[in-house]
Amino acid sequence: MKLERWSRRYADGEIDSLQGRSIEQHLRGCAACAAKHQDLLALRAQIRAEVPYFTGDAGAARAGAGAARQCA
Amino acid sequence: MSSGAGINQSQCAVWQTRHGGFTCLEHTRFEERVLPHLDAGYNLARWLTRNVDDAEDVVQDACVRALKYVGSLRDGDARAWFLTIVRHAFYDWCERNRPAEIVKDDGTAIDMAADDSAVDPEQAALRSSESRLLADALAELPLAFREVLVLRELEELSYKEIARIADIPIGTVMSRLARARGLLQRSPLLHRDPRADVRR
Repeated sequence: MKLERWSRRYADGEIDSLQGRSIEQHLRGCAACAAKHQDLLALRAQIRAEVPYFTGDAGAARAGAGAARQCA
Repeated sequence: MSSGAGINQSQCAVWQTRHGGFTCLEHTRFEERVLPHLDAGYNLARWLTRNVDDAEDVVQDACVRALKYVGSLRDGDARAWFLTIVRHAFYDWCERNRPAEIVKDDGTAIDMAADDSAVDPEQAALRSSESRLLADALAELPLAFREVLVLRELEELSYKEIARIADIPIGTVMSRLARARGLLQRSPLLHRDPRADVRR
């Protein structure tokens, strides 16, 4: 479980390079952890590919304009 | 980018006259520091409210608050600062409009909400037969999980930044992220047979 936490932090870029090398070494030798790591990376890639980022070209502009109108 | 929705000089003068205390310097700071992050604020509000009109209301309230407090924004990260305000505006809005949706952060309730046993196999099977997207699965996550996942995956914020915005310890950020991802990974939406959509 502790290794899983480190692996997740590694996937999120939340550990330093020295710790990263240790994790990489472990992942090369542990099929179970490597599979979980790949699953996490795949999920993240899928989220970024399929989940929309609502820029709200119209919506955000209306909201910002609304704030401005409250000033007026 | 929607920074064109900014506040012009005449509106600034009107604001000063009617409300007092707000200077053009503050409006300038608002336009320069906050408005570039309007899309980020709208995206967060959109994922939290799951509704176009409600998101606009939340962002509008957040903009008013940001303008009011922009003087306290120093050299820090303006995006994280504005997202914190958007989140507060959302929770205030949620208390007024959807009080049942707010799960008290006592740990137990949130854990129960995300418990594996909470996934009804029949409902899961029903959902798997429908043409749904990963976005729908994310939208259905409990609020506490949805917000950290959106901040991490869509805003690409660090654990530390998320902890500050959501006002939770970094360890809680990590555990909620793990639970949120686990729920999505087990979602039948990710494992449905694509041929099912063709047959429909």
